Amino acid sequence: MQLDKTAIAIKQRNLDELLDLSLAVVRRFGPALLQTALLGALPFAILNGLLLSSSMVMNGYLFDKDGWFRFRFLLCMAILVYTQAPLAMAGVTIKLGNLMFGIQSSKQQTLKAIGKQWLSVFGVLGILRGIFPMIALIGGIEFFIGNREFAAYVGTFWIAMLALMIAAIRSVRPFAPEILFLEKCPIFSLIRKGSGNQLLFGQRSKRLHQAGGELFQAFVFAGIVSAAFLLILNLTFVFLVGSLAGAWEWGWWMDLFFYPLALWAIAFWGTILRFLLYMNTRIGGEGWELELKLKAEANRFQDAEARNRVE
Amino acid sequence: MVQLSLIAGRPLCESKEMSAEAALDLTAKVITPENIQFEYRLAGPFRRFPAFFLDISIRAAVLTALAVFLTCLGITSLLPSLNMLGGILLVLSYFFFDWFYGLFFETIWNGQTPGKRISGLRVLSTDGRPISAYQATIRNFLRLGDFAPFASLQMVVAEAPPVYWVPTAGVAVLCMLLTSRLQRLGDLAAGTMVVIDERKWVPPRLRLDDPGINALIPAIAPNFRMSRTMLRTVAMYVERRNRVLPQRRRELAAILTKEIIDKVGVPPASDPDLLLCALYKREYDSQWKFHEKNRSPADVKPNRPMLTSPRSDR
Repeated sequence: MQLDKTAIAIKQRNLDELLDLSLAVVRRFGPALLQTALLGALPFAILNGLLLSSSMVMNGYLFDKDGWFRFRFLLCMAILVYTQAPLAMAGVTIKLGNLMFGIQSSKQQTLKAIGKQWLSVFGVLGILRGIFPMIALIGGIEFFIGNREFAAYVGTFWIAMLALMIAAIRSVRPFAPEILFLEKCPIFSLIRKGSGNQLLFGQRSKRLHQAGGELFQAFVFAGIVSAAFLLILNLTFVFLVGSLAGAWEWGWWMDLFFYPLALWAIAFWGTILRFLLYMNTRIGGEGWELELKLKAEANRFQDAEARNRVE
Repeated sequence: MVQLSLIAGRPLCESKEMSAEAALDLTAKVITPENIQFEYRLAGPFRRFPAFFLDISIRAAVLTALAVFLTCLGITSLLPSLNMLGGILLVLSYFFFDWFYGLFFETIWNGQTPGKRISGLRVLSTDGRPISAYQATIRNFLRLGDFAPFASLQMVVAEAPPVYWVPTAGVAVLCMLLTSRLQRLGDLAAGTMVVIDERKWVPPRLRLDDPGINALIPAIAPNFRMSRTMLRTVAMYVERRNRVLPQRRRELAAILTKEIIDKVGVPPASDPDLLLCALYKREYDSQWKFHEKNRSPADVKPNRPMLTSPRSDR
């Protein structure tokens, strides 16, 4: 592996360049990453369907056109996908990290890499980044609160509060998946045994997320772009369904199928953008491109020396 | 010239974009028949959006000013027929502004509209030549196709006002996603691309005046020579080292210096950062002196940074 021969040119970029580059990355690596993304998103998509659709369809909320319950359904679906995306797209992060250095990884290898970090993944992404608390909260409200009015209004308030907390954490510390899956930093020193002087997750996160202001700016901008993309995708889906089936309104098919599909598509693109931002942050703050160049040069020098000795 | 190149069996200009082997970047390379390679930085939808927004704003501002002027003219005039004439003029102006604004400016300003000029963008043919009026016409007239599919507000909310032409720009986004030069439909049809019209500043020779560096240079073994790749790596390090903190700088430099320190011959405790700077300075000072010695007096120019646009490598 030649460290300075990367699949994406390593250099410092502006946010607009990164956004443009994310489209180029989707074009070049999209097919290779799509299968992994689908495998990661499918279990969560089914879970979300069970969590939201069952009670909502049963209660007839989906047919409450333009009403609060329908809006609530769409909001909860978006919150669930946003919360689950870092874990669901873990495979994409790992695969993209490998592709950067020309390494092809199979599904089994990707799963193994996630499995090796299961405790850190559970602790950081599952608990601290709110995936399981959010699932538990929505599931609890949907299935265990008898008073539907209370669940719909007060319950939604608590869901929104938890989502805001998760968004606040992720806005200034977005690179948890990269630290866990690419740098493989453990969360406790107990797990670190035998891995030398490797940094713990917390230490690494603190060091990597020093440019909090810039990251927050990128978060806001990416949020606006994601919202625009979501609108474009959904309107395109409505147009396509209308052209093919003659149904021009936003029907249940949009709620249950195309809207979640658009959300997962945005999550996929968002994972790629986050990876590019991660690269950029490392280049800007740590001179990552210099590190790779110098390591590659040191390796070349070692090889040349070894050859000279043999001769 | 085109005919000659066709007879010779090769295209006039060969355009090489992000190839599969090359590291992915937002650049397009154009090689001329003289084998001169130009590299352009491509502008995607996000880089283009401010220019698009500026152009829309300019058009809206001019049309508003015109509407106000015509309204005032209608009110102050004693002739009521001027009101109708004003309305017709306004509709015609809207039509011409909407359809011919981009075409007009891109033709007379060599691929730039006011918005693009402010944002530092330019439209070029994919072979690197300036665009023609014909290409400007095609790419601007196909803008409507790029805005498709059109949605209506009632698709989403049944009680919404009857607005049926909400552009989604889905076609433009899809086209840019699928093409290596980030071209929208109009660009594809016209054979154009939008690039960043940059003036690249070539930095002058770096000055490294740290006494620690000067002290290390005589200690470097005279027979130690860096390979071409090492020279490039060290130059890159020296160029960018100021961006990282001093402690990290030493960490980075140590990656290479711990391998070469025996060969370089300096004391093992030498600062790795200063050592790389010293290696750079020794190498480039000797090249600089050689260059100065061999330069004729006619070549002497004032020492100022060069401005080049675009980057060209022979």
